[in-house]
Amino acid sequence: MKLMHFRLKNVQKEKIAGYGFLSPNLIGFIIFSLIPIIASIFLTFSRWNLASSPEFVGLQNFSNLLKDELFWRYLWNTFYYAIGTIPLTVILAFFLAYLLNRKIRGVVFFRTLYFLPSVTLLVAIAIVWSWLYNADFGLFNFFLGKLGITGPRWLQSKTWAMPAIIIMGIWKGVGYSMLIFLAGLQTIPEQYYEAAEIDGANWWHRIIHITIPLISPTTFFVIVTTTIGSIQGFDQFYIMTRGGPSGATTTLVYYIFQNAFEWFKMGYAATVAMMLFVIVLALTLLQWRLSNKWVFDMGVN
Amino acid sequence: MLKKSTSKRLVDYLSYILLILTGIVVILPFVWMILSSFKTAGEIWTFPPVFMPKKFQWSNYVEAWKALPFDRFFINSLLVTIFVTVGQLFTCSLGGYAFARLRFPGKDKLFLMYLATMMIPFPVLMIPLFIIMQSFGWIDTLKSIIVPGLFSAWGTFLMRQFMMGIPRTLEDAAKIDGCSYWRLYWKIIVPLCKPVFATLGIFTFMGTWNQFFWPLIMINTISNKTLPLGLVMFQTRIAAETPWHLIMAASCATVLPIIILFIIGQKYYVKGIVTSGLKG
Amino acid sequence: MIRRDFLKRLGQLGLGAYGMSFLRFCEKASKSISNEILPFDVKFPATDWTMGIVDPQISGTFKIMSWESAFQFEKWNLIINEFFRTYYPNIKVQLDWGISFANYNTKLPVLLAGGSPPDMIWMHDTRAKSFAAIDLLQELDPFLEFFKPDGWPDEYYPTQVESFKYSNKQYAFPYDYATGGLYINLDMYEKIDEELPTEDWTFDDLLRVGKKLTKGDRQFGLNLGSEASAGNQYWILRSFGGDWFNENLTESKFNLPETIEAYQWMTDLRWKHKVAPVPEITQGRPQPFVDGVVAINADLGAPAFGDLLEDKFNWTIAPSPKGPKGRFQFIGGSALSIPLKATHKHIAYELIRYILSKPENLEIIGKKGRMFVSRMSAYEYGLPQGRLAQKMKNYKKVFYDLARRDGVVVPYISKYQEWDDIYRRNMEMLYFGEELSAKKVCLKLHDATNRFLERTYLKKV
Repeated sequence: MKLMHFRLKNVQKEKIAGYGFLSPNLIGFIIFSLIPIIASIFLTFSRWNLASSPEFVGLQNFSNLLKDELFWRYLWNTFYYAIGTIPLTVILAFFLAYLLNRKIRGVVFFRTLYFLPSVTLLVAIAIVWSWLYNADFGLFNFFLGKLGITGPRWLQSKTWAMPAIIIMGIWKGVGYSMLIFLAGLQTIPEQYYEAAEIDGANWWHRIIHITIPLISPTTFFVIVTTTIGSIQGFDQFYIMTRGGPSGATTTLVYYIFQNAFEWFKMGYAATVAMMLFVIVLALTLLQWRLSNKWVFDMGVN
Repeated sequence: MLKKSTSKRLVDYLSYILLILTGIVVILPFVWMILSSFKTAGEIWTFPPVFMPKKFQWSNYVEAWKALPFDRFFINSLLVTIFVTVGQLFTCSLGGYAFARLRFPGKDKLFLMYLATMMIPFPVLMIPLFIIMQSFGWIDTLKSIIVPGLFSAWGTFLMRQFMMGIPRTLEDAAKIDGCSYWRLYWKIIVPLCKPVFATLGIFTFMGTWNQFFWPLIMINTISNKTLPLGLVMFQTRIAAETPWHLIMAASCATVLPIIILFIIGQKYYVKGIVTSGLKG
Repeated sequence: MIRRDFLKRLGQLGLGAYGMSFLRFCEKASKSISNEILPFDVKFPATDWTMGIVDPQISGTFKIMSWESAFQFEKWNLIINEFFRTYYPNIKVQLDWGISFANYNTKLPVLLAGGSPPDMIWMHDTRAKSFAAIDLLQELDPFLEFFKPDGWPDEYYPTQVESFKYSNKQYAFPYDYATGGLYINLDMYEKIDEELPTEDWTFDDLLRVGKKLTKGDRQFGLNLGSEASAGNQYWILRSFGGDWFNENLTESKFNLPETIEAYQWMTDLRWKHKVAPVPEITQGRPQPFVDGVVAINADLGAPAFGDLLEDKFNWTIAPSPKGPKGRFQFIGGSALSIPLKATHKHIAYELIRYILSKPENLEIIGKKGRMFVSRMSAYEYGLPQGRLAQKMKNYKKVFYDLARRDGVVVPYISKYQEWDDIYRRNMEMLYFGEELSAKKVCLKLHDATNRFLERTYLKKV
């Protein structure tokens, strides 16, 4: 009986602690995220040109959206970019982090090197990339030419503009994910590796059986955030191609931006945003469900 | 001492080759940007473009610095970034700890809601957020950038994931000793999480340092602008007139503090913190 | 007070969309501001540049937002500070400049929608009607009537006055304009045996010379710009007899043979005759002419371009050509506006009037600026000075006299940005060479434009 009481008290204490620890974060979250989000959810049911008061239109925005050919096209572009960037970024970042987690000479130098693309401001670096991609004198086509391949017209081509931005996206994003993996690798206790080495496991086995399972919460984080990040990509399209040629690199966030601030269709912009949100949420929930199968929780074990 | 086996050495060599090769590819655009920052206005656009400047124009940096109150922008950026970074480390680690370790009703739902907020595209939140700021009377103040920056779903998520990866055994032992949750967090979790703190610190610093859109909307006075806003002040409506050599110089200078911080942050990326903790 | 405002805004955004009654209330609240009859009671001594309506001792903050950049804002600074020092010494001026053009056009709607408008703003001819159409700008006519600027409107460039009108009301006061002409690389031109182009040259004359001036893919004879940028190419379209749509905005004119012919001509320049640089060449380099890649280049008349050229090669300017249906010259420009919900509208108007009709100020803007000021009598301040004047001898004729005769007002409709997206998506097919038949593209654009016009302009009638 006494033990029961003790446990109950503990549960109670843990509840209070849980809310207590969360509260500083939660307050800011409610004011600066939740309220604006609720406001924009309401906007999906209205027409608002930014000037007069919003006008209630029911589900009209949604029915317009289903008929909107551009929405579906740009949804595809959004996915194209996401599918192009996510796997490569994650895999590359993992291997770079793995290589840089070893005790080798100049490790800080290499880490800095790979991290540099993430820190540069796009305004300046975008120009350099447009030089690199120049079909005429750009470095990419120069090297392809050396290999005997006639390079594509990159940013001028409906087919190649998106791959070009994907490459740039990977370049800019890999250092980011690498750093997270690196931090994740630090938390794996050394003993596990030592034990495996004594058992005679080679480096590949160690990756497969120790590193990958133990780093899975990090991997889950990296996958979810790069998915969200790539789907919300905007600057690279806005600066590099302005969504062209002929809409080939227009993604949904770009479309939302156009609707909201160029065409003053705030209600419709919110609707597209909400649709995109639902899609990303569904994807994340799917990853979440799947993660129960492969993400290893130290806390539970 | 164990001698390195040949296979191990082979892996070392291979990693070096891989690292150097990819390193060259990765660094190239960046190097080009740095070199461009030393070119004259005309040289940047020569056709076909040249990699090296004819003569290094160190004066670009001086000229850019003098053309606009960059010292002011720098101080503003530093102020905002330090507040946001410290604040986020605090709120996110607390929140992350709650989500990772403590059981309380509605935890999973709340966490999913956190995740969900990351998925709403910012353009649609901008006007509501602007109106909130206006009601606080924070327009054209650094507060309007700092305060919303103190909280981050992303950072909370990051912290949670890492804390989940830490073995529970240590805490369990401490819990039996009657340790309070605050002490658990402060004495056990925080020391174990140094790499994560370093990571979040670097990311937040970088993200805030480079933040552009939100400050653009909120700040209306030159003396309140931050560095990225200062950079675009060179951009003219007619693209040809934009002094790109100055923008390049200012961009390179802007990146420097992040690189320094990154190198300092590396100190916390030392293996074995967890191990020693476990042994102790 | 602050909290009430917050709740009201929240209501407008959130609940307002739900409850119609609440919404009506909001509407009333916003109407009371928008339809307010401006008081014109003179209570204080008027001066040459103030109306005497506002107390000269008034204190507060006067907010200005401009897209002008680092090296160009100085001139405005001089004039604006002088004005406030003299007439409203207790007003604190908040200057927000150096917001690049694209960002400016994002920030402005947020400030206007959020209810924190500046008192005076920069306005571009491509955007003015879209802001005016949704009641975000103050109509200037009552002010212009009450306190007429010297020479208004007859002495102001007619196309510019026209550009900033919506439903026959003036919504912005034009300050400068630029018109189109040809820049010619004389080092290249001297090698062919040809006279320099005149205003009587046809497009085909130009093509003939362009062919002679082209050398493989390192020197291009003639660059008239991208057909994907609608406003800049409108003059070519009109010269061929084509147009975008009819005046009532009921139907597209992209199916006219003249329209198609104009676009085919532009496309052929690049992909058939290969005298114009393909987009690969011009991408990432704003000025192919400055780089010596192009022999004849169509661009805006601005002495500033001369500065860029330094002494790289000999060059001059010439008028743009005429088409089968006459000669049209591109004109574009900027203006100053007052947001409808600005706090200090009277002062804003006085300031605008002070900046743009006081001769001394026009001299500062013209000489330190990049273009002609919109007051015609002050054109000479926009002419190139010193050494540049030598290089651009016919500057006045090309960019001033001919523009006055042939300048064409581009029909930037109230939903121009939205239509421009449709235009650009279609025309980029031609510009990037994905499609070489202008007819195909124009007919597609014709259908899309008609659908757009119907959904945007017909429904309302």
